[in-house]
Amino acid sequence: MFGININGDVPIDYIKYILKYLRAFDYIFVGENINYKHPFVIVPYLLENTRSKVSTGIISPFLNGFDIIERFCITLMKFYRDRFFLSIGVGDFRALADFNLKPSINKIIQFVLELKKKYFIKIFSAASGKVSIRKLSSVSDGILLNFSNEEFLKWAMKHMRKEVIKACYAPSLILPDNDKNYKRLVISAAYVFTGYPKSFLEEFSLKDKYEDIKKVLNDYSKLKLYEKFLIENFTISGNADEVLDKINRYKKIGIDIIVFATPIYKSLKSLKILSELISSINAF
Amino acid sequence: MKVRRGLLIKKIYEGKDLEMYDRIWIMDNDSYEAFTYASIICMRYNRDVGIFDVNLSRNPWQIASLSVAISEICNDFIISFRYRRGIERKIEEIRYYMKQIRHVKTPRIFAISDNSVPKNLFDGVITRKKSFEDNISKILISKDFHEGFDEIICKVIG
Repeated sequence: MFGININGDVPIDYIKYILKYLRAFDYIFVGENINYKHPFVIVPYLLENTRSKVSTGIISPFLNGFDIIERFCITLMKFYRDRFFLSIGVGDFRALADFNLKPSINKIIQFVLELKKKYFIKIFSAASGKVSIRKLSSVSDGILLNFSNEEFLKWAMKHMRKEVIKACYAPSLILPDNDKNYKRLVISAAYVFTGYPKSFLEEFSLKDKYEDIKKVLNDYSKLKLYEKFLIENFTISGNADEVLDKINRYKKIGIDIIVFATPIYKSLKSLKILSELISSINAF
Repeated sequence: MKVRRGLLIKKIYEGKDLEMYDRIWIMDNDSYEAFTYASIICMRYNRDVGIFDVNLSRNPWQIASLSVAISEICNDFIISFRYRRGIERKIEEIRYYMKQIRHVKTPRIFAISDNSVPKNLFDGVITRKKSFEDNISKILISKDFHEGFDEIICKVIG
């Protein structure tokens, strides 16, 4: 099955325009950032205007408040039942640091357990370290793995405690695309890479590269030196045939949902090709 | 000029009479997520919406991020705050975060008060005082019509 992640950094009218492409996806995730329009409004907008299942694209209870997230779930379940599901995570550590918030995986686990006890709700958790994968997979219905490299995915899946829905998500684009979108792809991949926990970096001996890339995160001319590494390992990109090949390989290793993340929703050209590709796969 | 009619909701309600009102106000309380509920009401019934008495324990970035999003769905979206000492800073913070978000529209911000409020901070006032005379957009909470108000919140559910 296929999913797409969009964010509230585009006008609602643009989301309205791309609805025809979004409807090709089984799942739509709406990401969170303190400088974007809030998923609590965009999620119902998509539930109202598509037939897809729609979720937050990893929302942080530390940033939003546990009680507010619970109320959000109650409200959406009342109107859209199981077409809505919740995807939860610790949150962007940069934003958490700005607000002086100290997150903990155990609090997330407790929250997931409480919600599951009270309501009939599907919850996906985001995890990329071996401890978080192990702990969160034991309480959630699905795990969102922010990896696109198959070796990384196999490593992550090895740490799952029980059989859960396995979703992988990564920055995506159908290449070639224009310079602006390509730049967005490289930068998104760099942000994903520099957000990984120690356990992952140590396992794949990536600590040095992590330090190098972290230093040039805000300088695209220098970041470009690492573009091959970033594109190959942290994105779902390539021409349509290459992306189709990746999809088939993900299926082979046991991934249930492939989620195409930013910047693809900002490229009408890529979005059109990908939605057609998915429609043709689903037709067979 | 026709005075717009408003309905204030305090619990999840889906009666057909929602269509009789020009604006549906959603009280920010623990029964639901008010901004999410308001956006559903706005889309399903094609009405203007507003959040009544936004809870100030919410993070200002969250209020800004939610409000900017609904503003782009809704024709005229209003958020309102009970006027009290110290609220000025909170409103300024909310407006700051709104500016950081890429937006087409922002909401109008009203104070809930029976007394004068700073006009540089608020776009209007919601009041129970029929004799409220300040030169600012005014919404009255009352069962009856009164001259000089832009809207009347004439019914409460919940």
